[in-house]
This record gives sequence, structure tokens and C-alpha cells, in this order.
Amino acid sequence: MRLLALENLSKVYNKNTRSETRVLQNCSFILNKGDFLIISGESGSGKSTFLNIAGLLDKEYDGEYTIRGQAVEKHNSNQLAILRNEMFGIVFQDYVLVEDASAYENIIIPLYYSKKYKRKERRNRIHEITQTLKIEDILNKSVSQLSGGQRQRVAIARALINDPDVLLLDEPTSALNQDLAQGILQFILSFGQKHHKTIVLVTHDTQNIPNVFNKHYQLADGKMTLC
Amino acid sequence: MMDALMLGFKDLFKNKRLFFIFEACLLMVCVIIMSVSFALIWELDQRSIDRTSSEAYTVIPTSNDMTSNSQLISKVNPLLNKGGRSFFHSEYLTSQMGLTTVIVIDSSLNDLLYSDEEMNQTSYAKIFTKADLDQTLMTIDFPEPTTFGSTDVSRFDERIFDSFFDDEVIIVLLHTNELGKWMESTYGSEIFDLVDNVQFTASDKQNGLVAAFEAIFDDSFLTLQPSSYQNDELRFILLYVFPTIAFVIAALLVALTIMYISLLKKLYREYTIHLISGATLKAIYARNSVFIIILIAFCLLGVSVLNGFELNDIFGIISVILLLIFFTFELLLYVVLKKRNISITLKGVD
Ligand SMILES: Nc1ncnc2c1ncn2[C@@H]1O[C@H](COP(=O)(O)OP(=O)(O)OP(=O)(O)O)[C@@H](O)[C@H]1O
Ligand SMILES: [Mg+2]
Repeated sequence: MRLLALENLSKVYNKNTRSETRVLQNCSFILNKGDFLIISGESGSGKSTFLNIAGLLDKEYDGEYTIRGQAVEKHNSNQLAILRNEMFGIVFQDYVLVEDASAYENIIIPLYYSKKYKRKERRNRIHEITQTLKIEDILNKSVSQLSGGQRQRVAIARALINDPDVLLLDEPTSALNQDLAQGILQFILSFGQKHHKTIVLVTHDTQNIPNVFNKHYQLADGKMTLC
Repeated sequence: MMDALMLGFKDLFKNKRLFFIFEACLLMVCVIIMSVSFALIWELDQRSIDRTSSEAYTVIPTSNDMTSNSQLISKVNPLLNKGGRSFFHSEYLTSQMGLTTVIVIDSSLNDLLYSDEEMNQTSYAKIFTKADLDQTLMTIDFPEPTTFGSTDVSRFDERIFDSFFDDEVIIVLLHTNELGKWMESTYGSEIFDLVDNVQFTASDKQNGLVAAFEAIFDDSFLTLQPSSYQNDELRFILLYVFPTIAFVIAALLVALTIMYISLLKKLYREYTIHLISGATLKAIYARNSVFIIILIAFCLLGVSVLNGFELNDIFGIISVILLLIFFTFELLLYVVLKKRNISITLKGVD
């Protein structure tokens, strides 16, 4: 089943100014339910830019974006908010946490807007997710005091907490050492398989791609090609 | 929605220091506006009284020697029969009748005194009441031939009714050369009252009455100060105090706005993370409004305390201003939320 489709996608930053940057040009992209998909490309090739558009965070682009067969431009801002909440779990390259809040306060955020989990179920849900990620005992710590690996897992917990259909992972392990990175990646992949998630993983490391991935897009010179 | 409000309170608590600074600024603006309004409303009140005449006085007693009192009365008496108007509260008659009694001299009302044809030779005083009090009045000895019982008080100086709270005021309209008979000459209070309430019109001034009136008091225990100086005060307020205060208020409001924008910037990163996680703009709006509403509510409370919980003009002015500030802040939030792109704001902030 087709979840997302982007056609003729083009993105230009700072259009019509001196610092105009063309990042994506006429890219096409299809994501089916259950896909484990990799997007690779050099630094600056536009991987994060693409993920922002796919994750409904950036609406300034040219092209047609359809989600489950429906055009995104026809959605109003409330419908977009619901999609962000229910459909996507995003882990950003630099995690993007609320720095002066605790791990718990960061992880709970999607649940405030969730229709899936009721108020009463929040505590249990957080317990469930943080247990599998082994961050239960740091929940009350301020995230600014956590180590890189811990921050990483808080960001992943937040992405998983509302049980989204699609996980968008922007180089989730680039800031960690090799062993830790491998461990985290293995966790996400087995979690994804177990819960029938669809995964989009952005990476610049094309050397050791686990073979659970069934699709590989490469980004170069603004073009997106299926390998 | 509950969550949004709860988060709003958390934001408030996290930024409590900023909140207090905001509150202090806002209260300062309100207090300045309040005191200026007090002054202005008072001045305008004064001016609306002055508008009815060209000449009025504030009386200042300058000595305790009241021996010249009856002399003053006998000089003022004929002068007021020619022009000007005044009134005073008569202690003696009030105690006799048990009702507030005011004695009025008003040259423009002399026709009322002679409208009763039979009495026109002897009637020097006429009694006006709002209520029908003929019977009681008949039993009292008046110093002069007196007619009773008109209830039409529409032509009298409005200040008479403004200065006494009782509904039933007895007014004795006097046309007499024997004012001394109606006045207590041993104490200065009645002449004091009389002079304090005196008003002359522009034509009286042209006829030299004002100059003659002022001359009477040249060497007496009362000093007259023309009340028109209040207009100068108003001019001073409008010309110098107002612009200064407007400037101060504008500066404070600009400071408030800048502070608010920097607070928004600080909170915006967190708002963005919530938007990414599925918050609606409405939820963010509600959340941010908690801060503004509590701020305004506390300010309104402070103003109410200072204002003695009265719902007067000043409270109205302040309410309107606070409402304007509220809408400005909400508008700023709207602009910030609508304009910014979620993905861009994540970069560079940390
Ligand atoms: N907000 C922005 N304004 C202007 N230009 C931008 C902005 N964000 C990204 N760019 C530019 O767009 C290009 C792609 O950036 P992007 O972050 O998508 O790259 P990336 O593939 O994720 O790189 P990396 O692997 O280093 O994360 C870069 O040249 C960058 O300078
Ligand atoms: Mg990137």
C-alpha cells in the first residue's frame, strides 16, 4: 500500500535573493507501507531538507505531495497537525529537545495531542517505551545534563511514543561512537519489524547498510535516484 | 485544551522573573495613566464650572478679626442687587425649620420676586421649595415681608442643588437692602460662603461691578483669588505634562513589546517542537494566552485596589488600555506563529 508519494519535488532556499540555494530538483519519491528505506548522499546534498518536507515541517516547495492518496495542499492546518501527530515520528540529526525540561517532559509531548492514547494511559505508555530503551531511571533529569547517547534515546522515545506509522530518522547515530550507533540502529530496526513500522533512514554511510532495507534512494546534485 | 493551559502555567512559572518585570512595567503604565486621568478629570470638572461665568473667586481668610463683617455685608448687598449672583447656607434658618435652607441673591431672578401682583410693593423675599411646605413656613418669623410656596426652581443656579445632598432644600430668594438681617454678622462663615459662591457674567464685568466687588475686599479679613488660574493649570497639563507622560508611556509600552517578543523567541523553539509533535496553532495560542491573561488580570486587580474597587471613568480608561495591550500581544503571537516556518526555526537555535 502506498503511503507517501512526492512528484516533481523542487526546493529552493531564499528564492530570488542573492543567497538563493537550489537543493532539490524534480525529485520523485515513493514510500509503501512496511518499507525499510535508506536515503544517502553527501553532506549538504539536501537529505535533511527532504525529510523536513516529507515530515510536513516545510511547506515551501514545488511539486505534488500525496499522503495515502490525498493531496497535502488540500489539508488544512488542523488536519496537518493530526498527520504530524499520528503518522510521523521524527528523530532529528541534532535531536531537537526542549533543553530546560526533563526527559519525561520531552517524551510526553506527542501524547498531549494524541487521540490514540488517553490521558490516563500516558504514564503507562511512557513506562513501556522508556523501559525498552533503558532510560527509565533518567526520566526526571534535565535533558541538558544527559550524555549524547541518552539524549539520542530520549529523542527516539519521543518519536516512538505515539506509535506512528512512519519513522523518519535523520542520521540518528552520527553523533555516537560505532558500538553505540550499531546498538541503537539494531534496536530501531527490530522494533520496526516487530511493530510493522515503515522506516526512512537518512545516512551518509553507504558502507554497511543492514540488509533489512529494501529500498535505497541516492541524493546527488539535487537529483534523487533509486539504486 | 486542559494540557495547553497546564503548559501555559508551566511557562509562566519558568519565566516568573520576566513575568514580574512585565507586571511592574504594566502597573507603572497604569498608575501613570490613572494619576493623569485623576488630574485631568478634576481640572475638566473645574473648567465646566468656570464656563458659566467669567469671574469667580476662591476666598482665603487672612485674619481672625471679623469686626468689619457687617460693614462688608452692607457694601456687598447693593452691589449684588445690581448684578452677579451668589448663595449661602443659612445656619439660623436651617435650625429654625429643621430643613436645609439656602439664601440666594440673583439679580437675573428679580422678576420672580415681583410677579405676584398684589404683593409687589412689599415682597422682598420669596420662598421656593421642591416640596409643598407652606404650613411649616408660615409659623416662622421672617425678618421681612415674604411670599411663600413656589415649587418651580428651574431657573436657579445649579450649584445650589449640587452642593446640598438633601432632596428638600428651602431656597429663599432675596431682593433686599437689608441683607444684614438675614445674616449672622458675628461669625464670618456666611459672608465667606457668599463670596466663595459669587459669580459675575461678562457684562457685569463691563459694567464695573467686578472691580467694585474686588475693591470691597481690599482691606478686609478675606482675600479674593480669581479662580481663573485653574485654566492656566489645565493649559500647563495639556502643554507640558501630557506630552512628557505620553512619551514615558510610549517608551514603557515599546519596552514591554520588545520584552514580549524576546520572550516569544525564547518560547518559540519549544512551541516548534510541540508543533512538530502534532500541536495545533490553537493549542499554542491558548498556551501563550495564559501568560498574557494572568498578566492583565493581575494588573487589573492592582488597579482595582488602587481605585478602591470603583467602576468609574478611570477604571474604564485602564480597562480599554489593557484590552488594547492584550490584543496587541495576541496579534504579535499570531504574526510570529503564522509567519515562521517550523523547519527553519529549528536551525541555529540552541
Ligand atoms: N534554512 C536554510 N536556509 C538556507 N539554506 C539552507 C537552509 N537549510 C539548508 N540549507 C542549504 O541547503 C543545502 C542542503 O542542506 P541539508 O541540511 O538538507 O543537507 P544534508 O544533506 O542534510 O547535509 P548533512 O549530511 O550535513 O546533514 C545546504 O547547501 C544548505 O546550506
Ligand atoms: Mg542533514
